[in-house]
Amino acid sequence: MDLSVCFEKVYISVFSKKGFMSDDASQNCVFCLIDAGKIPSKKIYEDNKCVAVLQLHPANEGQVLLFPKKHYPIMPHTPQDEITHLSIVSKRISLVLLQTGFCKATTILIQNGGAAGQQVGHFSIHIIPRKKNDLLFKIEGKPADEKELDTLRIKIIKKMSEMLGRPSIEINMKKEPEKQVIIVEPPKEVEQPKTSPPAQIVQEKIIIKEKECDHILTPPKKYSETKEKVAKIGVKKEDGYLYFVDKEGDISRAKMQRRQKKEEEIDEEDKHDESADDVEESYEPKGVDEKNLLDDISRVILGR
Amino acid sequence: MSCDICAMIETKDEFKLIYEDETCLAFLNEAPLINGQVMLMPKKHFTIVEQTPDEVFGHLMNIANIVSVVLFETTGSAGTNILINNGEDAGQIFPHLIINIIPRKENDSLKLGWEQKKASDESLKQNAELIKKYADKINLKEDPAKNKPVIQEKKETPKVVDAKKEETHKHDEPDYYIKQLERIP
Repeated sequence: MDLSVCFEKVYISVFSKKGFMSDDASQNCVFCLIDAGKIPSKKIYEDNKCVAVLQLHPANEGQVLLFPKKHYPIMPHTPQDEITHLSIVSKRISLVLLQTGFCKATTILIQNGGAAGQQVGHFSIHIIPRKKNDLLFKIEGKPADEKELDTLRIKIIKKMSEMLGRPSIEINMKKEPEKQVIIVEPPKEVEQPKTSPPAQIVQEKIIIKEKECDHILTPPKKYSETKEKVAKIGVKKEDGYLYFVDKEGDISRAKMQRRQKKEEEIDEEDKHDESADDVEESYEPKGVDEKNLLDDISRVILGR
Repeated sequence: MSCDICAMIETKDEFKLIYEDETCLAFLNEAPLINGQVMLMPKKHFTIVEQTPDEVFGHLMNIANIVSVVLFETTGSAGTNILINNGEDAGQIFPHLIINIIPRKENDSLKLGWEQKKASDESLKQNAELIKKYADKINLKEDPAKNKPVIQEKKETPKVVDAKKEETHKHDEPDYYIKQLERIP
């Protein structure tokens, strides 16, 4: 992947101001001159691809500068092979610094660009021995605004996926609760029969079918909207009675008391007579004789 | 493993993933110096650079390179820093290798530099000699991470096998040792 093409414009503009991106790197670049031996230096390690040198202006004593022999202005301009080689060498040098006893910890730093602190227009890696409380390279910061981070994150994922040619993260990794989606299929279209009936009839059939399906698709209506008057009678309800429609279709009522259960039919033509409603309210069981048991029972139940 | 980051990587909750592949993960730091600071780490547990194998570290640096380019284009920065704090004295917070990629702008007042004081010639000489002793022994083909296995999984040897070995070794010894071993269910 050739990353140098991605942002040459800006980096070149930055470096051209300071004279870093010059064609005559071999004559102007400090590191190229060090490699050529034209500038004195304390070389520590050298191989066919890179050179390691002691830093003259170190953060801590023993700081090492590692750079490739070929001139690459910044890291994105260096090919992958060289970056892997340089990372392996920097790992060995970090181990060497630990072995010497200068330090018990190291920092590996890469500066890409003048704003990041790069002073020489030649890609280099700093390997810095660290001491406790030396107050260098503190990375802890303050909690950031989540919305800004989320918008940034989306941009970064898009750009990374573009550059890699594949999505940079798996979308399935997101653990969002699965929302149950109820798919209501619309009514299927009526299949026209072989004998083509006139268009009107066909349209009627379609309309009917749609109405049949309406009760599935539309929510049920309220009771108050569905009721309709069947017949006008004008019966006044009285307290203490249960009104109902007979099997015959007449309106009847029954008194809601435990002792007496009398059905009285009220027709539309008959007037409301009080005598018809007379019912033995006071009920006293008379002496039950064996002889007249049936009579007594009939009197009690039927009120005769 | 009592590493907090290994536990986080297993659950993959509550962090803003940017990149993932078989060997490594990258996500946005939620308490950064600048918005856009990325933390890149291997999925396997390695505490410091010296313990990560060469292939893994090389792969990580290449991905850090790609991430730095992406940050440059999305955050509008003028440069990037790639920083590895390797050890407690260096300020390493978690015992797990983390590569920090930080987008930089001119005059952003971040203190990721140092005073440019020239070191004395004597100290430079001494240090150069000392370092060269060990640097001359650098062998790129020998990976220090593989020669010294730091993480050793304890293999539980089954007791039955040990008992059999003891039996074979202790032919000459008195019989009561063997009798004791035979009693083991």
